[in-house]
Amino acid sequence: MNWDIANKNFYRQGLRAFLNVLVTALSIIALIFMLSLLNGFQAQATRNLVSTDVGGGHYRVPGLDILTPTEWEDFTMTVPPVLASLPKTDKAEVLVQQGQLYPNRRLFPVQLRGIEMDQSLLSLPLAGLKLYDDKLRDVIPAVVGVKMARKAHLKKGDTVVLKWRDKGGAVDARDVLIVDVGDIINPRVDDGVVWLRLDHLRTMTDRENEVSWVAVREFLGPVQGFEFHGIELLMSDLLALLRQDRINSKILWGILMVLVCTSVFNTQILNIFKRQKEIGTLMALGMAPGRIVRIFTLEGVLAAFWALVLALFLGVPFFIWFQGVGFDVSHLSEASFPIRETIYPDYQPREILVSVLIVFALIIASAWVPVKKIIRLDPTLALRGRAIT
Amino acid sequence: MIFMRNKIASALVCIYMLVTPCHAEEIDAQKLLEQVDDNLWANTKFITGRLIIDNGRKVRTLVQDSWMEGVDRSYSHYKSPAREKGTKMLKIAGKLWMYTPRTDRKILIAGHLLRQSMMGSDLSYEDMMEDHKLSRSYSATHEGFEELSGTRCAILKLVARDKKTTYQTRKVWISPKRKTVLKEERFAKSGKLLKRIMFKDYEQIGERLFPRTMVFRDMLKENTQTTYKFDVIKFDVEIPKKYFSQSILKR
Amino acid sequence: MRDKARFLFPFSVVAIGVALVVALVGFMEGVFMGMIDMTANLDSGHLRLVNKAFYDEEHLRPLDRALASQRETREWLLKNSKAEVDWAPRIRWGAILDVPDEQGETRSQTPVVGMGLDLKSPNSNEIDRLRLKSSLVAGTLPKGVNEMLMGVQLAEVLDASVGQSITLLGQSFDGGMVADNYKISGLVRFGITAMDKKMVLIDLVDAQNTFYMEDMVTDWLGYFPPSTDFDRYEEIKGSISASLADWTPPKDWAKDDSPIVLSIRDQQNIGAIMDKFRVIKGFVVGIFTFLMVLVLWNAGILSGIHRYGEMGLRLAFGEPHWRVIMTLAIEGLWIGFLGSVVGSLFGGSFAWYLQEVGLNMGDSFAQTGLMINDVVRARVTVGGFIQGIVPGVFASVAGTLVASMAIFQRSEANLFRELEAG
Repeated sequence: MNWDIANKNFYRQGLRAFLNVLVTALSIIALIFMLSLLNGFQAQATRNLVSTDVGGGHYRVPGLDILTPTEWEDFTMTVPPVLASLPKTDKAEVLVQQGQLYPNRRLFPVQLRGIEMDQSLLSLPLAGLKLYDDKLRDVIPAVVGVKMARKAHLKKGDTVVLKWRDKGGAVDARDVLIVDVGDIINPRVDDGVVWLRLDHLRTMTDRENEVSWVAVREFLGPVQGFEFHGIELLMSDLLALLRQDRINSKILWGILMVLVCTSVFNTQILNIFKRQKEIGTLMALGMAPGRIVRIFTLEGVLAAFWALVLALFLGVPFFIWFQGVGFDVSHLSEASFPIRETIYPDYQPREILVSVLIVFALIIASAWVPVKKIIRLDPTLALRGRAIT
Repeated sequence: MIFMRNKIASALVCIYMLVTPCHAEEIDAQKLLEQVDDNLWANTKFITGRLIIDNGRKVRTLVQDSWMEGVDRSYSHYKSPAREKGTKMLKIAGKLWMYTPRTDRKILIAGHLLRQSMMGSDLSYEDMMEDHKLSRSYSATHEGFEELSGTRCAILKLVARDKKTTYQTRKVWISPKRKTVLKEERFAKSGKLLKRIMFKDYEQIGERLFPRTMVFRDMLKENTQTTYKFDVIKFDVEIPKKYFSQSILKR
Repeated sequence: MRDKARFLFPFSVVAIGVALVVALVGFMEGVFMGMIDMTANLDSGHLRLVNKAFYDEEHLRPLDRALASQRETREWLLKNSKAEVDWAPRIRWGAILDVPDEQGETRSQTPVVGMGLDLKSPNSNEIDRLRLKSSLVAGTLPKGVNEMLMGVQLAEVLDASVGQSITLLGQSFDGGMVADNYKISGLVRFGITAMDKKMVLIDLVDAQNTFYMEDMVTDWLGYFPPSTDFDRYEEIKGSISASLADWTPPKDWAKDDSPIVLSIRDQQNIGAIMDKFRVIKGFVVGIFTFLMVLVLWNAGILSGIHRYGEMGLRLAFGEPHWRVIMTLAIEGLWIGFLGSVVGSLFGGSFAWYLQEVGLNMGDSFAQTGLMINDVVRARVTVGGFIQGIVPGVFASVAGTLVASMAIFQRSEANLFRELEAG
């Protein structure tokens, strides 16, 4: 019975009801979209690290500290069979050694990072290196990142002397050809890093089959002689920053929520105010105030429900579409050939559910709060439209 | 045409005639290198020298007294400039310690620190630490002759016997007559030239011929050079025992 | 004004909407500021005056390319930049730390990067700037001669502790070797692994003594107050760059010394991050503004619809259509204007509070003593107000107008009936 009346009342409002529902629906969509976009931005930062360096974790030579270049050559080992036999999609062997570059005949200490060419676990702009074979020639092909290129005044096609030590400690030097200035979205593997073919670096340093670490897709249990560094460890700095960013998103979420509530609350108050004659009439006809409150609250629920339906109806196609195109920020790159960098919203079901539930609850609450005074309403005043001022 | 061909042929014969005498003058490269080493290395040696470091912008001069015994023991004491005064370096069998009066500590220069430039010069500590006679760590082959500032030099190519030797190949320009080195080049494994050392101002000191000046250049860098000038050289001197003991490394 | 429905509701919606936008823009700017200020404080400054030769080979930390005449340079900077910029002299250096055992023999060694900054003069802002007091996890800040703050993980690696004397081995200003003893006065947690593992901080004067750099520094870092707009950095940078050309170099400078001015944008890839963030921020603020416009517009329409009856009455009394609409529009304008003023006031003061005081979220971190910015901040900008007020006023007027358009299509009688119906 209550439901019927509420239903009738709601639809009778026509345009007003529709506008309310529309605004609420759009608010919900915007809320979810914004949160997801922020999540996506954060996920992108994580993904950049994962896709260029971390993978699903590293099996590292124990004691290796990437921040202490002087020790890199002391911490290399032969790849154990269990890791070597992984498919190319699931692991990337990496060898890191110290080198000295001489751009413009000035010393520039660098990190030489050799990576397997046929791996597909990490995505790096190293296509230029793939054009060469595994045989080391007089000129070694190398790729540097945009940041590194800028710092060392290098550009595509430059040749520059590189000096390094082999395993025994003998000095070696050759010319290096910069085959590409790549867009390496992770500054950690751009700044001061010269990318080489793993087979080249191994030949250069006389370290057949040796690695500093093997990046893997997932933890495979303990591997003899190696120590596993998980994502949490390898990205601890970023994760700490993101944790802080979470607080920021919460504040944003809060601000957005206030806006949504304002909208709902405002329309509802206006509604009650304008409909007090109706309320007065219902009371005069003998309807219990409690029932009136229920009817009006039900109307709110109905509004919330339709808002959800509409949000679903409008939002889902939009989200699907946006997930397809993403948010392209490639134009902000400086690389000689920028890799496409697109931020995709990251929809987190839990967060969405919680947000929607809160919006739902708020709508019901804001439908209920203004009408609850009806109980104490004087029907005669209400009839004359003077009860609520 | 036939005449022309004959002319070329005779020219070739002439060249051949000119070249053959060179081949005839056989050089025992390894022996020559040993002779050079014997000339340079004495049992004990005292040197007062100046290390003139030119980094392209500024020239600094360090004055040091050094005592050396064989190839693996040496002790240096810096006398100037004021900031470096009192700094001591002690090398004993592959280990290098440094003492500075300001810190009043002895610091072990080991591992990777050895590869750093010594006192901002074109020499690394490792270069300075070199404690093998060339003839022992390299095998030499004769590559030819070249005139170098008026002296006819045999060019020897040195290939390291050990894979761990820093410079896997070197070239030395040696006067076969005087058994002196006039120039040395150090190469990377790939054959790229890394360092060039010129030996100048040879003088007779006792029974030996010794260069008064050595000029080091890092060929990968621009405009830098380090000159080592020996003002006082004495061979076979008596060196107090304490000089080669760690106890010397204090104020 | 007496009528709640006619004034208070739309007014409060506009006020809240504008306040939220102003607060949101300020907050977003603040989040970004927090992101880059860490870099600015530790490394790049908002502005940086540095010898070009030093900057080109920064990775080598070539102290011989430092700038002499510290006092003269400071005076020049004060004269040629604006009073709002606080200039801090720094020395960036690299060296090897050698930790002795009980016998004074080398126990461990490691290369480190270091910064010499004014830690001891009473009017220096550096300690606050780097939040050194709160990031100190052991010991004290340097007070005596040759005392050093060390990254907490570096101390672990070196197996060194507070109070211990260690030796710094490096290269002096003139390329010579330096060795000097320092006492570890305290350990700090920067919150960035690379720094916790590799960074030490010493007082500027000590650095000058150790590296024989009397009256010399490698960097002058300029800091703006938090309310400064990022564009202002570029503006001041431009004006300093222009003045640099006319600077008669102090006599102690080397012939090839030529200082350049950089802003934080030019360093550490901040420019690219800044651009990326601007796009994101634009997106967020855009969505939000759209939403607010929608809500305000809706509010406008609703209050307009509710007033059909009144309009019908007025039309019935013979008022022309355009006049009714005009008065409604003026009302909307008023409401939008007043709402915007009040909203700006609230939103602005919220942002201002966050800017000046900050909202300390430190508790939510289990770790204490992080140098990374765990205080939520905001930044009050003119742009924020504009972004709030313009849609605030516009939406309010537009909403009213759209609603009133309907009256053209209805007869007075109809509207009057709607009054009856409520």
